[in-house]
Amino acid sequence: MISLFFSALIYASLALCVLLSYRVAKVVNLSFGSIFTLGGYLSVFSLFITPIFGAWIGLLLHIGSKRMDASKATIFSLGIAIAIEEALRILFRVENILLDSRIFYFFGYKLVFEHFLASMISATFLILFLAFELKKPFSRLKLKVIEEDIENAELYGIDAEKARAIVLVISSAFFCSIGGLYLSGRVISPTIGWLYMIFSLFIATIANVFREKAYILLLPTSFGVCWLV
Amino acid sequence: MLEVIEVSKMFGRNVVLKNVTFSLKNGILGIYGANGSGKTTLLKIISGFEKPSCGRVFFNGREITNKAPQEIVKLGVAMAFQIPRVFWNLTVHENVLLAARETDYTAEICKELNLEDVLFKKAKEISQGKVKLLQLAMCFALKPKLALLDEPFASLDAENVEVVLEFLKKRGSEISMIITAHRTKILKTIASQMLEIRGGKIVGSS
Amino acid sequence: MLVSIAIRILVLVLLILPVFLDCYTKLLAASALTLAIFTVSWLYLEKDLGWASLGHSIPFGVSAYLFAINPLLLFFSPLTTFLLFPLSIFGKHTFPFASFVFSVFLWYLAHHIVFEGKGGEEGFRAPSINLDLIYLISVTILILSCLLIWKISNSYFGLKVKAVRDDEIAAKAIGINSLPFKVFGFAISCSLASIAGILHAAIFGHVSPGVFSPYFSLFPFVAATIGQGKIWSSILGSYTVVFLSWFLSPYVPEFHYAIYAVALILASYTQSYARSDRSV
Repeated sequence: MISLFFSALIYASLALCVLLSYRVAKVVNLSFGSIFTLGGYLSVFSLFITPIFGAWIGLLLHIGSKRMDASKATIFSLGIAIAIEEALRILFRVENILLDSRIFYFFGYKLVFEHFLASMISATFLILFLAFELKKPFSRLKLKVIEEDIENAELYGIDAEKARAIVLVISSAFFCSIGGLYLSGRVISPTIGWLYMIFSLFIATIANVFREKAYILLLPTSFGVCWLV
Repeated sequence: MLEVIEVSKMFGRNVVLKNVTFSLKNGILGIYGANGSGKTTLLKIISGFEKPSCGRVFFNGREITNKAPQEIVKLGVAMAFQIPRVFWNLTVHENVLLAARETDYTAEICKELNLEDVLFKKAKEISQGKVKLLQLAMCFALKPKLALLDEPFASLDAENVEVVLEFLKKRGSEISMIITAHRTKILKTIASQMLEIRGGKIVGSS
Repeated sequence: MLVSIAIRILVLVLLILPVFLDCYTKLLAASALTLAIFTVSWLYLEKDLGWASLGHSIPFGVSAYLFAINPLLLFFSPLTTFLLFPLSIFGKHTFPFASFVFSVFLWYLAHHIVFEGKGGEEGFRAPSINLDLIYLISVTILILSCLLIWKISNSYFGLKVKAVRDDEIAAKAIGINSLPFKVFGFAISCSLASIAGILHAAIFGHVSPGVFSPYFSLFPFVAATIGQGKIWSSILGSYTVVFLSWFLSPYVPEFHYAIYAVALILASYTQSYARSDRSV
């Protein structure tokens, strides 16, 4: 039950990144899977470099797909995804790598420390976003306007480009860090991230049905889907 | 020919049409009213693109309420939209041919509506005015018994307004029409009957 | 015009030449050929119907699996249309990604397909057919598919299909019911992709979950991007991807993915997919 709760927390935060990219940055970011995998491979060297690399890719994605419509930006993100995958194949000639992990006991439950850390970071991320939703009504309103119509938002002086960049950089950095932590203790290959990305995409799609309440309902949706799976 | 009986339309809580009733035997019926008065919605209901919240529509004695637009077209009711809906990646000739189904008639109608110079250009490559004429050409290429024309003179320059007026006067003798406009001046020159619509209600006729 | 003729001649040479070459080259050419049929099937769906599928491996892979499990199941392969077509409810802009995600889902699912103790990650052995014969069949099918698509595309019926592609509401306004035309277009495209999948299985005598992998899902998109959306150039594009990846794989692992990445990034700058709506 505890590991189910932790997984739900992680997937809810990943789905939040997917949803924000879709609504604010107007891209179904298919490179998240590869960024997640990249985090896993980078964790071989150090966990601290994962958000930096993730943020760089997010920035590259933002610059590369600036002013593109949603379909083209998504195709661009798919190109980036495959490029990362291929780069990993070239750099790590041995395809499958077993990542180290540390075991610890949480109220008598045996847990992987890195997974526990990933879920705690995810919980913090979700709480921070919730606080942003509740405590910053004006910024939230700006975000909502961007979600509705990016051109309209710009017409009224809202810097949609900046918001887009922030969303892509933060979400990519987050995916990369969580990848570095959550893939610990597993055998990884360059394609492993697809599964996590598709699962998050699935949760985000279900939550998206609830329109304005989507962000709030991400955690229950994630919990329900994880429980079913 | 056409009977509209107590048609109402609501979008959520917003009432767009309230118990609209009128009939048309033949000739040209002009419907005028301000923006948002419900003219377009009324034409869309007759042509099947919108379903009425209540009320019934009959064409030549047959009920056409809730029928699919393509079925209503086959009965002889054609619609030209205010914001043109054409096939942007096809040529003007192909667009009209699709509706007319025969090359000679396509050529004839394009000539009448002054589309000959752009006949083999794609719809997305021609000016807005020409697109508007193309929309009319497609509507009449269907050889309808009743043509529903939503603001046919909007976004046309003076020269093209003349072309359309001439065309409608010529066709008016054989095809019944309902034409909407928010200005009555042009409408009065061709319409045999006029209806005024305000706030979704018919408030006057002449 | 000259380039177009040169491309056609080059394609014809590429089709005829392997007949006189060794078995390995013929196998390579046959593989390129089936993928060229696959590309043609995709191109019809994208160009004439406006639906850019990034999950075209669905009809391709399902038919290959059906053929491998039992050749009699081939009769069900046209039904693969109904695996891809329902995804059109997502609309033209979301369809590419919905189909891609569905194909990746099938890729994972295929690892668990077991029939009479066979299958799983290993996949199934498919009935093997003489390479010379299958090569000739593939050439014939490629030429016939090009002719079929050309014939449909230039007919009055094809014009209606294109009309539905451009604007379904405008189509309804002139009395065209869009649904049968959409189903017809999907059926033609999926049937051709199914044939390509069956030929692929017959050539290699084996089908694995890899037939649903992004390699196959994205292949036609990449080949069409290289061929700039023209049918003959896209056939040449298919050959280019297959030959390059086979020859360069020893030096760069899975080199085709590098081509894919470049093609996808370039495509997002140059091509307009999911065409149609300039509707206001």
